Amino acid sequence: MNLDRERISRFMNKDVVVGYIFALPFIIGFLGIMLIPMFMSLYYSFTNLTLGRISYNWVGLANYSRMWNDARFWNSMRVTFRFVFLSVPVRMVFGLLVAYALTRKYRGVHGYRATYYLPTLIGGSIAVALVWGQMFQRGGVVYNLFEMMGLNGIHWFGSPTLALVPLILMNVWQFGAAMIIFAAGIKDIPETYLEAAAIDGANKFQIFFQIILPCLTPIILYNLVMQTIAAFMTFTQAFIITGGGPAEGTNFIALYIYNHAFSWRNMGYASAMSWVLLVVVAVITGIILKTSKRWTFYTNE
Amino acid sequence: MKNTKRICRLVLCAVILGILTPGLAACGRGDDDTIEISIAWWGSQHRHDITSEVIAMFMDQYPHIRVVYEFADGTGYFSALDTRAAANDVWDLFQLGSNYPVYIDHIVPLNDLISRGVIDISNTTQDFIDITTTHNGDIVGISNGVNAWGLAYDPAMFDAAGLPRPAPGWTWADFEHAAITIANTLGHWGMGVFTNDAITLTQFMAQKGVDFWHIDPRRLGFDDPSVMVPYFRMRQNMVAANAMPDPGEAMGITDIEGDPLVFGNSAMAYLASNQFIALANAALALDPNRQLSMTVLPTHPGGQVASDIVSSQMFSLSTSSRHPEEAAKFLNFWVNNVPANEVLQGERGIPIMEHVRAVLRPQATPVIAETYAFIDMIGDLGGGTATVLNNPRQQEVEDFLNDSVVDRLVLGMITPEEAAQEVFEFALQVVGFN
Repeated sequence: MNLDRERISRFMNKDVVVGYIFALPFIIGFLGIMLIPMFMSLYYSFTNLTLGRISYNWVGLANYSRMWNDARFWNSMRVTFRFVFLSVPVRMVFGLLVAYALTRKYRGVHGYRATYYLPTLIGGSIAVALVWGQMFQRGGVVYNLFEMMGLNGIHWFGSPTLALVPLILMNVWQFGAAMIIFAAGIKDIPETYLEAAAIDGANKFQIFFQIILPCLTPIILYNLVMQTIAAFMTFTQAFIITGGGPAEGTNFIALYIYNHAFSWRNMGYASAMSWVLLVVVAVITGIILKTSKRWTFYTNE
Repeated sequence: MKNTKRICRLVLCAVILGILTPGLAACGRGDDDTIEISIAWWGSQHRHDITSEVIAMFMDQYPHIRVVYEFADGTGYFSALDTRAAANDVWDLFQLGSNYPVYIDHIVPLNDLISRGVIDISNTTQDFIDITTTHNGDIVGISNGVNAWGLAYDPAMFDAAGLPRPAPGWTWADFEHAAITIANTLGHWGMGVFTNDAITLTQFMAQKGVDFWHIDPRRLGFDDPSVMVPYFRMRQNMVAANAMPDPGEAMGITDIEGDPLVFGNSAMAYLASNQFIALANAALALDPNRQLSMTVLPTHPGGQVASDIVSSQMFSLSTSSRHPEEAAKFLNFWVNNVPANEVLQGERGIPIMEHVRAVLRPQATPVIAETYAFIDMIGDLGGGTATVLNNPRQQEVEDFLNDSVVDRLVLGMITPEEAAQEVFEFALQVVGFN
């Protein structure tokens, strides 16, 4: 009895045991809501699982071949790619410029930095998406502004190509996360580099493009990868503001997957599309990382 | 190494225990004398208030039954239901509309409970029982009320545009002409939105004697898409003539209280008769002198009657119910108890029980009276009741039609013929997955 208790107490006081116990909430969460569902979805992607029905069958690759012939899937992919390739670069440039401006030394810069980060804090929320949608609708601020400039009746959500613009702008507006990382990177650049350049007679543009930008390339790489992945998963804006329309012009792949899974109950097909999306994002990220060796510069190299 | 293995095993045990314990605890509940049944529905705040009031009345009368309830808006309700259906743990009684075939695996037919007299249906007709609540001879629910699709319109605007007011027997051509005339003379939309073009189209086809769906869920009720072409042509014409909003303008119209008819920006609205109450009350709140009416859908020249009376929704008994007898008692109270229905006031549709209608009808406000008159109008026209065909994949086809095909059609990206062809091919492919 005594021996048992001693053994238990010795066991419980081991570093590994303590470590695992403290990590337990994460492990449970990771297994329960990440890893296990993920591999279950891989299995389901080979079945015709339908929400609400009890039985389902193994269908092999049928879901994957359905995708091949599904014009709406390809449309979703096309729209998502257009969104990613338009919104990510603009957002990065915007974040970088604001970060540069906000790392200069003048009064109240901390206040500005906090203010510019605000949209990112509230940007993913449904409330902001609703407000954003209202702004561009008939009678909204942006709509009226264009009318005052003599451009009458621009229905932002009335045309499949135009509807993408408010969504891209909303995404760009949330440049805060990228900005903070850029600002940290800019502050990290050794003062000696900048001083040396200034003494050599370089102007502000030369310093920015030839000192700051090259030193920032690792940060740019990090931001590029993170922002690209996030943009591929964009859901809220399309779900709340446009519902994917008009004419599926903003039917992002995440929204299309959601609709198949929860509106039309085709869980099997939705799982298959999720895995294809994962592969696509992995390939794009892989390409970015592969080419990065040519354009990133590390000060310690 | 050996230690790590043991720890892994320990962690795994802990995880499994953690998952199982709440489940075990749940099994031990409800051993005392009171029996607990659960019920859920979707709807507006007003519906939640009156429904919970009726539940309290039921518990007063049956002290040994405790009713727990949940409610949500439509979308929230169905995601909760889907989750519960997947876990095989649906509420004892759950509200379903015409989409009930999706959940048919989870529904217990009521035939036995009715024949044993637990649920009394002696005060209604077989017609009312048949409408949408009968599935292959099984009664899958008792209708909470009936309604019919129709058009709400503003008589004053028709007069101002020099048009005759719509009356039974008017045709789709009259309808299109009226909407375009109103747009040209008054500068308003003739018609707001067809909230669901798929429903309108299905009715348009049914008037020609063609069903969109087939009794066999793997087939369609028609094999020639050209039957849909006139509808799509009318739809395209009306938007082109500014007689209906385009997709960008329509996006701002999200609920019945926000319909342009409420604000006097359009002359007609398409809706189910129980929705007329919300629409007319919203219009009255803006202008106490406003008068709106309801009429039947247009028809084809010399064609069949436009509208049918359908069940708006029902409560079904779930297969996971452990107390079907008590749940059935609630259902019986729900449809037959007069004081309870005086609280409900036909908010879910006009009650199917004769004795309940007899009490409610004299109490109706002018707006509610208009819906009674409308249902009578359909009854007099011989439309009567109809069993509406359904398909578990209906939502998928409807969304494709509403959000993709109609948008592209009215934006001029495809022709009415192409629209018809696309809808037909898509529907055919999708029912193949059943």
